[in-house]
Amino acid sequence: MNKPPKLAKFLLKILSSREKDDAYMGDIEELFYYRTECQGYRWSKRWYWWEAFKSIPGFIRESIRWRMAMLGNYIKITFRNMKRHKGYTFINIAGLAVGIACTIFILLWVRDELSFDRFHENADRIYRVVFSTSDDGSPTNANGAFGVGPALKRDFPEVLETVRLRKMGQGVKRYIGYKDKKYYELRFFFSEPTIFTVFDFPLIKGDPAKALDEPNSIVLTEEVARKYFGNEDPIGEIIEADPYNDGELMLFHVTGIAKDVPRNSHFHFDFLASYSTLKEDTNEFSGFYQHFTYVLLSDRSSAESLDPKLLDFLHRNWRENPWYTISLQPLLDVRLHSRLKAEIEPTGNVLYVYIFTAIAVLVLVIACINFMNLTSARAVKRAKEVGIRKVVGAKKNQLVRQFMGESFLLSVFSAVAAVLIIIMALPFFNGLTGKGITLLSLINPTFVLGIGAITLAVGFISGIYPAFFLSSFQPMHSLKSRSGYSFSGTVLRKGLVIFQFTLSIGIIFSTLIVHKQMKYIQSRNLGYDKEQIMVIPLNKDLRQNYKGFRNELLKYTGIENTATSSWVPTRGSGHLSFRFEDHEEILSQVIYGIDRDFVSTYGLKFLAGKNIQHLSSDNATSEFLVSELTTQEAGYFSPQEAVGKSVAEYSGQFRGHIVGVVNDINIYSLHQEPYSIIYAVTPIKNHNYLSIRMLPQNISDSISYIQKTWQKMVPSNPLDYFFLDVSFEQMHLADKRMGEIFSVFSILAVFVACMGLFGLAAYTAEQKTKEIGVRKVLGASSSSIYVLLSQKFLKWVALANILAWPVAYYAMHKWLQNFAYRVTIGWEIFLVSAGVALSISVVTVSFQSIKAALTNPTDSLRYE
Amino acid sequence: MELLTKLEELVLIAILRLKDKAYGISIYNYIVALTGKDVTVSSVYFPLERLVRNGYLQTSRGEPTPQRGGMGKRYYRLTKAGVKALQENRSLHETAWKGVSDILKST
Repeated sequence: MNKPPKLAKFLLKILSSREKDDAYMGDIEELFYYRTECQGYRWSKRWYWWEAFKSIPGFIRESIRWRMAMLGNYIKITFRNMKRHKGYTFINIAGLAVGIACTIFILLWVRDELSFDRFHENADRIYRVVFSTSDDGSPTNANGAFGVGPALKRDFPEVLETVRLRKMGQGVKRYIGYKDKKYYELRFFFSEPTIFTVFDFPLIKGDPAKALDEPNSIVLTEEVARKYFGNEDPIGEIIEADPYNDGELMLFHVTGIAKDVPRNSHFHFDFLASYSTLKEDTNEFSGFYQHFTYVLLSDRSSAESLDPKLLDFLHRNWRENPWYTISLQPLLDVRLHSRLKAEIEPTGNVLYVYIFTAIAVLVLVIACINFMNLTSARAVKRAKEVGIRKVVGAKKNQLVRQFMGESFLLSVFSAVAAVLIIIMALPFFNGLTGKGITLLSLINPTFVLGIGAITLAVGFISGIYPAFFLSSFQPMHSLKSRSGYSFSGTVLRKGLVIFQFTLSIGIIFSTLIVHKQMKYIQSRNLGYDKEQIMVIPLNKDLRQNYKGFRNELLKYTGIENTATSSWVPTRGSGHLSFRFEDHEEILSQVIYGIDRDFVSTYGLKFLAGKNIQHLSSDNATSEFLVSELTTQEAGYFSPQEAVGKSVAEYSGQFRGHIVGVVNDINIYSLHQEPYSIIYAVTPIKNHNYLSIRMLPQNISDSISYIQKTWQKMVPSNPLDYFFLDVSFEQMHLADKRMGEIFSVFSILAVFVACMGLFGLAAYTAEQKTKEIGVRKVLGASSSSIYVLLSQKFLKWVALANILAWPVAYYAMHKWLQNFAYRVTIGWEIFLVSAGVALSISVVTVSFQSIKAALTNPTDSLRYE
Repeated sequence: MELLTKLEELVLIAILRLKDKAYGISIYNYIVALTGKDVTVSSVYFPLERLVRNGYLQTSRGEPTPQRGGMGKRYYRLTKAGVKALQENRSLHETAWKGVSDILKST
């Protein structure tokens, strides 16, 4: 005889509300056999299955009804417990809320970092052509030569499109004027029309295909259009600009208005002039300019296949022995994975993404551990409840569910509190990180789902241990003993506290090193004196009037010296190749065009030789100053030996000999080694900057004197200036910011950990109320009781120190590798981090211990 | 007096008729035969359970048989309250229908 399908029978059994009713099951089975006879096995089997499925809705209805009844009870108990132990509840919720808020803030930051350049539809197929002057061909420069882009498109079918961007100078403002509105602007680019097809920069007005076609056309962003034109329609208007900063004004037709570039783009333009306006030979291969090339490939794999062909490409299109090589860098790597010279804007660092993600997880873990510790420590209080529930018939998994539920409920409360914290602290967060995250942008599915997921994870992680721990109580045991129920959770709890403090100490340790490094960077000798140097970008009128302007300035006692130069430290550099006497190889050098006052204005020191004597260089007879590094690269044994050697620029622009050797200077951030630099006296028309060295006294008077002189002598343009030390600091803004973020989150992590310690100390004191009473009656002093209560915790923290050191040491050692100049991790860091952790925990624990030690024994003996 | 649903009423009548042979399947079969509709088994069980809860029915266990996978039958019998409820419903029915048939015919 055919039996009913086993699986269906099983389903029916567990799903049916009549699961325990034999008669019902019997009836179903009898009907099954009856149907088998009438309709055949197949049909009756089908019918049986159908019966099984039909019981599902009923099953769900039933279980929900019972769940709801028990849920009501659970929630009631949870709230009662929360009310009875307000202090613990507060610590739990506050700790978790701070933890969740921290995590979400960090995740917001990480998400923002990862979102860079992803708004371009073709983002994964866009590559940047990067240049390399290093021996192994690893990319060194984001900028490069003019001609590479179009040649790539011509030679390789997989290169669908190229975009070239020419930025005028590095951090050099350019004069822009429309009628009476005259400003210096920073984000001025020349670009090809393809910028609108390769990238997603939508135009509000104008035709993207034609806007940048004609020479002397220009596209403005919305914001800039408002600045210059207010509510007028700018299309067709003419603005004047001095992109080359040589005083020759160029006129541009406004042909389009672009939407403002999104914040999370790796470059931002305010003005996009048509590429065809450029004066340079844009097919030229040699020489690096502030010029950037992007290509759109047909698919992602072609980047790899293209790579080996690029050297051959340079041979074919340029010369047999190229002094640079090129490679392709994915657009999406630019923000986080690129550490190149001459980036358009400072980039981020993927290391920080990792570090902060780790901190987010750590803070959350610390908060979860608090919860686990406090809940399991207080288990004694719940033991009786568990006993009663078990006696009444609760199954173990019901209890697990109950306690998990409690933890979920608490984590939901914490999440709500966390959201409130986020809303309140968002402005502070934006200030700290320099991001512009708005409340409105938080209302999106990722964020909501993220909070949901974190809440669930927190509820689960922090609830799982207490749940299994509590539900495993034997009812006999927990009901019989009045209090002081002994349980085995102490080892784990000890472990968790130690772990927690290990993390906190690790974070304190790292923070100290970050601070030390930041301070070091700010105080490091850069080879030149960066204090009290005011820099003014040169313009045409000033160039013509420079002599008079300088004399006027030097009349004032607060001004020591002035100099003009093609570049100033922190703001760009030009690179050229040179051939040195007695040296085979061609060396790439930074070239600084200077005047004779530059060396003294910047406080450079002569290691050998003397300053340049002639006033301006002609091709054949130039005199050069070189940096010490140059002499080493050229293979000279000493600076003295270098003096008198002949030097020639590769293409023949300059030729001459070395007259002096000066010390190395850091023209960029301290992430980079110093460059080897060649200084040549060049005419002022090739110079971009005027540097003014002032005396440290009465700086503001000197500034106002300079302003007055400017108005008198250069009335045509507004005065625009910056200070070199500020500019230098801006280069390390990202690092400084990281340091600040680091400190804030480390304080929070330690705070959360301390809350847990505080809770545990309070709990221990409470547990030992009677013991303390008895001891005091027998003559123990308050101080001995204090020691009794505190010493355990302090031992834990001490152990945590020892565990934290090696990990933190290793991690920070890695971080410091990022800097060309770095501090050493000295013993004082170990001592201070240990001291901070110990003293914070002493304070935390003492608060409770002293209270307990000072209580009147009559009160404590009456307790319970 | 508590109103019975149609199905509950039919189930009670079926149990009365089946006398001491009234259990799940026989009641189900009776109702299928009477209504001519292929109702589901559980549609008989819900009224049965409700009637038992309300005290209109009492149950007794039968011996298990191999045909039923080794599980016994549950026999149902009307209690006094069940009989009373059925009678009350019937008189209610008749009162309600009195004279209605004339109206039905004339329309």
